[in-house]
Amino acid sequence: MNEFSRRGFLKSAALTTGAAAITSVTPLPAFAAKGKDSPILTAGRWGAMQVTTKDGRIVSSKGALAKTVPNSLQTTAADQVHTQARVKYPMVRKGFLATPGKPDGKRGNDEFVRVSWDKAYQLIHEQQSRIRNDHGPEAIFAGSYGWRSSGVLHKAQTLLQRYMSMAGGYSGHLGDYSTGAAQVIMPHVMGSIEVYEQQTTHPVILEHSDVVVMWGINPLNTLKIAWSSSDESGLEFFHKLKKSGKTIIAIDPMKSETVEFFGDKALWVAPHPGTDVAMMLGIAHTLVSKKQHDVDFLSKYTSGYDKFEAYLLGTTDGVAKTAAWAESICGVSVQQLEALANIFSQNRTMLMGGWGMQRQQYGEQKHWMMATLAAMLGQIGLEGGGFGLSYHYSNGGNPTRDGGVLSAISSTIGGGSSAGNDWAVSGAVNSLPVARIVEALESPNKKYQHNGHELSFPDIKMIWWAGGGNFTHHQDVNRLIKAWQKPELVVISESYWTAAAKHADIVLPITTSFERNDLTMTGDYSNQHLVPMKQVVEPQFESRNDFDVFADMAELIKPGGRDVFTDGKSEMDWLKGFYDQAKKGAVKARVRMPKFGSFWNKNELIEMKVNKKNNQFVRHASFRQDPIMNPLGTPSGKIEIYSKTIEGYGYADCPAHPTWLAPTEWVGNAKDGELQLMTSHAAHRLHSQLNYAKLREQYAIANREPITIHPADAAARGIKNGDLIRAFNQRGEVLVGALVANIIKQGSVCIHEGAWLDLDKPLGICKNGNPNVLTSDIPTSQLANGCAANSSLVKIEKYTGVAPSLTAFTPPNNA
Amino acid sequence: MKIKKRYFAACLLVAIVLGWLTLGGTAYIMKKTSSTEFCISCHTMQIPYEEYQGSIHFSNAKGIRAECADCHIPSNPIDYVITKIIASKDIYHEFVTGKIDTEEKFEDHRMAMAETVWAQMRANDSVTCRSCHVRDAMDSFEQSEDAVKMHEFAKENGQTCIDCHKGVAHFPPEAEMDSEAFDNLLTKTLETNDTATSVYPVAAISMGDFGSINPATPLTVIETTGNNRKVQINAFQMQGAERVLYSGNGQRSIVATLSEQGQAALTVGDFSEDEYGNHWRTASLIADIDAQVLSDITPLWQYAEQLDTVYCSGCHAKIGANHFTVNAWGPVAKGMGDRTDISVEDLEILTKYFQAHAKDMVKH
Repeated sequence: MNEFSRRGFLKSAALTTGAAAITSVTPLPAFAAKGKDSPILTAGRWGAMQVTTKDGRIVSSKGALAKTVPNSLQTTAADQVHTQARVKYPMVRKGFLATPGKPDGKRGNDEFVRVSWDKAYQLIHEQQSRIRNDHGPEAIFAGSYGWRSSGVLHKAQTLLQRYMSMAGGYSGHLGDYSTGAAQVIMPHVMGSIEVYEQQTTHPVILEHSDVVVMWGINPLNTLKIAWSSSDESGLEFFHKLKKSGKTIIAIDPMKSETVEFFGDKALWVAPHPGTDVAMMLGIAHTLVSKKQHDVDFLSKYTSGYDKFEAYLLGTTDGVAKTAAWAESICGVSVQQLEALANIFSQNRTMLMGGWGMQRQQYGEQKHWMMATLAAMLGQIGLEGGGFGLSYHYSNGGNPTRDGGVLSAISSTIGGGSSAGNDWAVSGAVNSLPVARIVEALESPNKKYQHNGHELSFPDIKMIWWAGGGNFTHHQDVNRLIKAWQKPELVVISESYWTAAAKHADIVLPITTSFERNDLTMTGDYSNQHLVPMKQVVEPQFESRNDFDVFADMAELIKPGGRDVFTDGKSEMDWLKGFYDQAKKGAVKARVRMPKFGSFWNKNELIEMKVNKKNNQFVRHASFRQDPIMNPLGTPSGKIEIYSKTIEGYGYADCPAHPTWLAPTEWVGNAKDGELQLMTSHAAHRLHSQLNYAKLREQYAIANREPITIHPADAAARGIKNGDLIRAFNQRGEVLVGALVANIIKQGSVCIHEGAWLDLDKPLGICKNGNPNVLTSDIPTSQLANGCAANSSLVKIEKYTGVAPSLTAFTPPNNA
Repeated sequence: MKIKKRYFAACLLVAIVLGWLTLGGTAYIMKKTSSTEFCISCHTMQIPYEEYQGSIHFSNAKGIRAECADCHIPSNPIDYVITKIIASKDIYHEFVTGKIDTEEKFEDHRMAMAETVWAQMRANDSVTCRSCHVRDAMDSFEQSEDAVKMHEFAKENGQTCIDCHKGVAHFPPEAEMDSEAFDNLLTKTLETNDTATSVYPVAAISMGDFGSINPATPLTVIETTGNNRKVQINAFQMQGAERVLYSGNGQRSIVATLSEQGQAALTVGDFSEDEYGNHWRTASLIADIDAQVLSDITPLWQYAEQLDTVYCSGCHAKIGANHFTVNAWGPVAKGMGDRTDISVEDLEILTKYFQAHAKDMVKH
């Protein structure tokens, strides 16, 4: 370091000689040399993390951003890498190895044999080529759905589809399990999907809203994660909201972690699960009868309100949807409904809607009715008013930053023949609504309705699933297991011995994100940070990166395939490319990003710049300001309370305006002690991810997934807190541990989704308590075909047999 | 005179030593104060330093680095000394005025600072660039086609490196036009009198229940009462896009956006199919406006030309409006505009200017 500086120079009296000693130092920023076991910065869905290793093993991990509300998921890095549930080697099912491509009905009930990677590749390639040749690309399902891991390069599903598009195409999926109904209905109503879009910002809510309604959201659990990586602003927002003195109302059948968090700062209103539309209709009717609805807004900004009002007042069906009518369905008193109507209409009110309510039969009606209610309140597009469907997800409402945004690897190779390659690139040739996969397996070529189109299911002969856990996220698992026997080949790319892996023909061991290099942004809406996801440990056992697996497989399609798949670039080449692209955007925002090499060596995150205008973003403000110049994307350009498009479809299960439709199974027709089952998002998991982690000790009861039971329902069945419980219905049975507490609407139980299936073959019971054994696999309606997990009735009783030992996280023998 | 001689010798020696110390010292100071370490030792230099660290002039595959002085201090002795003397003002601002001691202040002065450096480099024909980048040493076959073309153009037109290669080591300043120009334009509208037979809006204006009219749209005046005018728009409609009126048959320059009432009030011709299978018809509308408007469009186009200078030619040489068609200018202006700080309103005026003078609008 040259010991010379302008500041020191001027302080020195030696101007005339110049040669005098000059001592002040302003060092150049030095890259601190990282010690061998000093923490490494990486990231997961749960945010940026510092991970500490010792002798090549992870010993601890913690969040890298300052926070007020702790996030338990950030402590799990060691478990993720070193759990006994890891898939160590490529494994093939014994029966498959004996007669490849001839289904023997033994998937999930067979031994596994260890093979070499090359052998596994060869088996997959031969079978796939045969199937592709005989049945065409449609016979290969690569719609592989799930949450995989963070990162813009190591994206399992995208890489699978990139490879499959080089191989000649595949059957893919439409939509998702999270918002299947909402993302199809909302474009008809609001002209955009709403559920994955930026919300009126947190600062605007804190400044302008008088009333915040948390309608079926549990951000304390769901904001621990984000689709890219959490920027962790959401929980800070709810922390501030709690201290704001605003009127906070939580509408939820459960006294969730969030309701507990707000304590006496929030009012808890508990309707019966699945009755939100009736409850909202009761409020809407009250508004009309007290002339508290905004007639001017409805006439200027909405279309078809008159037809809806005729239904609301009962002129079309003879049933006025009064508060008293609503009380009889939702179990919330007339007084409370009238009070809510009054509070909502007399104050600047933000309705924050959750998604569980639309994962029900007729789920399309829920958010449609919420948008209608918000339109009647006339506050859509005003600061802090209206409704928002993403406050509980990926930190929606955290203002969008200015700066560099990472791009990501794409599901098709670039260019086609014009790019100098002669690959006949083809994407998804048939896409089915993601939650209808079992029906597709059962009824190939069957015609069905979807959002106004007649489609037909592909005849699936091969499935390759990468980065997803469909044996936990799909409904009616026993039905899935039966249908799963049909294909001629099932390949699972996995880091862990999930139930899906245990029901595969070929299982490929894949690295976790801690064993490879990647990049991610935090904040799906904010793009707040760019985080290096630096490799922390060596790949475990024989695991490989999806990127390398599919590059190897591409080379088998045709020599040269590897270079086409990878674009001739290594892992680090790709990352540098994404970074350099982001850096271009950063210049405009005055975010100073160093060259990639120095960024990577430094191993520090880069925070993007605050944009004052974005801080004040109000959803639909421009529409409100000028509905002619800024129309919504609906056919009328307005909020469609009545949709002529949907009317044209003629679906009995999705009428043309928001309508209360009683589900096939719900608390209103429960008999013989049946209870309504809810499958909410768990506190210490990302869906089924991390079920194996030590965190499980914090929530498991009797070493099973807990079931929340109202004390009165428990007493009626002689159940005590901590008891081992058998929950069952016509679809199956599970073992769960009783959590008896006055934190749930009487008549309902909750088993959080995500417990790994652990079927005891002789008993036919899931020993770990996967609630999807009990849920029904029906579509929300013909419009969206979303999953309807929250429309199921179950019975419960104290389990009196010998408790079978848990094997959910135990690999098969020899594995 | 031994003493005198000795005295003289001693004096000479002292003088030599002093001279050596002074000159050598000066040279030493000059050299040291040109080092990158010295430059960045000031607090305010952190910003340009970090920007430079992200640039190819700081690090690259070949391991060659251009230090601050390599670009900012010419090596010819006179320019060298002049540059050093001018740079002493930086010391004054660093320690006395604190002129750029925050990010905001730095950003406020970025344009002025950049312009100073650009002017200097233009004056000396980018001599510091050329100390490394020599035209003779450029192999045109290793350059992209565009680069070769632009270098030829630059040579023929007497341009120098910095005319195009701005923002290569530090972030380029972002142009922003002051609001005075638009205020002047609004003042011009006050000159429009009751006898004007055609008028032009300078911003999007309302037609009451009918919708709104885009800037620069020619309006035929039917009746004038003070600021209230009954005007007629003669335009075109495309089937499937009835909410908007376009400037010409097949020309997607939006002149007005209509409400349902606006659509109902149209006088329309018959649809006829164009060569792309789109159906177009004439559509005229009589509407009431009460906004200030121009009677002569020239000031609006002058304003647009200023926008072109500030926002477009800040990055690249101006591109003639007749380079693209009406339909092409819409997306081109939008795509390029997104890369600048131009406001939505100004971009609309600029787009209208390009479209009005587009390839398919003017004859040459």
